[in-house]
Amino acid sequence: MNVEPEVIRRMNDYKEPRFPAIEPYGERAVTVRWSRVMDEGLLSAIRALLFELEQHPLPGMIEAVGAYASVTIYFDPLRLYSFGRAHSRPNSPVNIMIGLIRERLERKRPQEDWSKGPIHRIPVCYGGRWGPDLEDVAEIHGMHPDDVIHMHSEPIYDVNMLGFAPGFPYLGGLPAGLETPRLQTPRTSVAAGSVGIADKQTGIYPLEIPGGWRIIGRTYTTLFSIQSEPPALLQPGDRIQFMPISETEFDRKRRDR
Amino acid sequence: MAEMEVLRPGLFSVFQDRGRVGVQKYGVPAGGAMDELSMEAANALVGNNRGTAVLEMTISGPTLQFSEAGLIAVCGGDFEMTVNGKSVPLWRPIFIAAGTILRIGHVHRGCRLYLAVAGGFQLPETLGSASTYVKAGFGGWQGRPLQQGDRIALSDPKDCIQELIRRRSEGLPRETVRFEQWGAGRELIPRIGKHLMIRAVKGMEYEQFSPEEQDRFWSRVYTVRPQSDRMGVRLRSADSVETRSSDMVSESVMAGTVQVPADGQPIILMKDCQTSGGYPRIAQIIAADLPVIGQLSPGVRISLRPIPLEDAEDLYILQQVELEQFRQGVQLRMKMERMV
Repeated sequence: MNVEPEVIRRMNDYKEPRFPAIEPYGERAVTVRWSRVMDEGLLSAIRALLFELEQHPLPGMIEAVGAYASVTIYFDPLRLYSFGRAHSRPNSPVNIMIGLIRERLERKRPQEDWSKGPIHRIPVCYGGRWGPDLEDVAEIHGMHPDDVIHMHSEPIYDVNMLGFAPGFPYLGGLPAGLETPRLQTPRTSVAAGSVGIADKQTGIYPLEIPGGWRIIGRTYTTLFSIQSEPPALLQPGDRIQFMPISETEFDRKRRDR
Repeated sequence: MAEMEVLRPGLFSVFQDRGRVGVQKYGVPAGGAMDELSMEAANALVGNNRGTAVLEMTISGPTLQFSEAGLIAVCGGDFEMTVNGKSVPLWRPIFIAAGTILRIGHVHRGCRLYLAVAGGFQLPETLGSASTYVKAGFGGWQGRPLQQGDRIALSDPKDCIQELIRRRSEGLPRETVRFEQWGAGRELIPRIGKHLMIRAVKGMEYEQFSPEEQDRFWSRVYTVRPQSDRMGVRLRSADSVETRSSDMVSESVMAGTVQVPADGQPIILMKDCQTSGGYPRIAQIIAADLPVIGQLSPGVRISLRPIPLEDAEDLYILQQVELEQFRQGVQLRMKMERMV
């Protein structure tokens, strides 16, 4: 079993971040915030809390949504109000929720490193008809398109959060040499599966929507489907690696699906 | 089977309910009726359960024909409305004969109008809701606004409502309509007008604005811009909100959040807003006033007033209690009508 040393390493390396701030967000949500700036060391605490709340939801809770450095918990004030009356916590629903979250965070401290989610390998056909902006991106950086492909497919990217569109992953870890401004005029329609770059970010369009990202390739992997359960392929903490494939392979795989 | 045919689609007519629950973590907007109170009033008036999908109509409404006798209610902004050519009031139960034509005209004041039919529309649920999310093309009726020629099947009302419809529309000649003399009271009708006061609590990044800007923010008059839609109500003021460039990272956001982009012109996020945002959030519209935001039309002026969070919570709970009392009142009334 080569799993054990990994677990031990994780536990030894793991440093618990300081206790987060718990703030009301209107009457119907509370945000647990570790930081106001990006901090990759927080992914573990965020994922641990999301997992804990998924397994053991709080009373009146609707859902918990993770972001770069925070978790926002949405709830129904009426249910919290009833809960407060039943448990002699005569208080405002928001304050009851803040108390419940604080108790939970104090009681269940993560004992291991949660930062490493599964790696999804995403096959991408770069350039040509599937990546119309690859040549431009290469030109902007004075590189050969093959170098752009190599640089883009080398790192393992972290899924920091989902947003912008259903199933859209905000990926951290784009090499600085590939940072490219958005298109001057956004396209009225970008196909689902398009892989793009915008400023310091790279991402994948899960649906056909308008957008101004520079499209360098296309994947046939489905990132979002209303028929799937869960509907989004990725979640915060998951990791992605892009695998370059040829146009022939892309066409064949797409036909097969 | 009873159905509703679209003779003229109107500007933007989409089905909405209370929206999607528990899907923001997948990056899916919550959606739902922009003015939930008007939606629930309409549902109550036809004996539907809370959160039954209704037709949300914006600025200029559709013309619709119903194949069978039924019970409908129309609530929301101040729109022109005729049933079989006759002017009929909003906020009332309306008994219609088979073949009835409902024509919704242009809005006078407000922005949105809600049509509920007894029994509800037969719509598939997408991610647990019948709300239309046009940008991604799912939910509601084929993921899009209504078009001419669409025919939407209607579900059968509950037995007790069916009995009431049968009694009321019995002998009702084809071209007529019968509406009740009672309806929703003032407490459920959203405030609409040319200049409105909207209540808010401090936003997540309120402290990042200078004390002078905080004072100015609450004293300005903002005008609703025409670019407003289901994603957000865009505001304009004579002087822009002084925002400091901050390196804040994106956090989860929701309807009612007032964010200030770099241009200093605030946006009130609404039901189809993205699930995350990176602009400083100066204020949060109180939940009880969110239906008022859903009725804001371009050119309307608003002022924002800060209230304590505890007051906002009380106002929301009170509003929900009033809605529930109204629902029970309607049920009692309909029960009595069946007995006489």
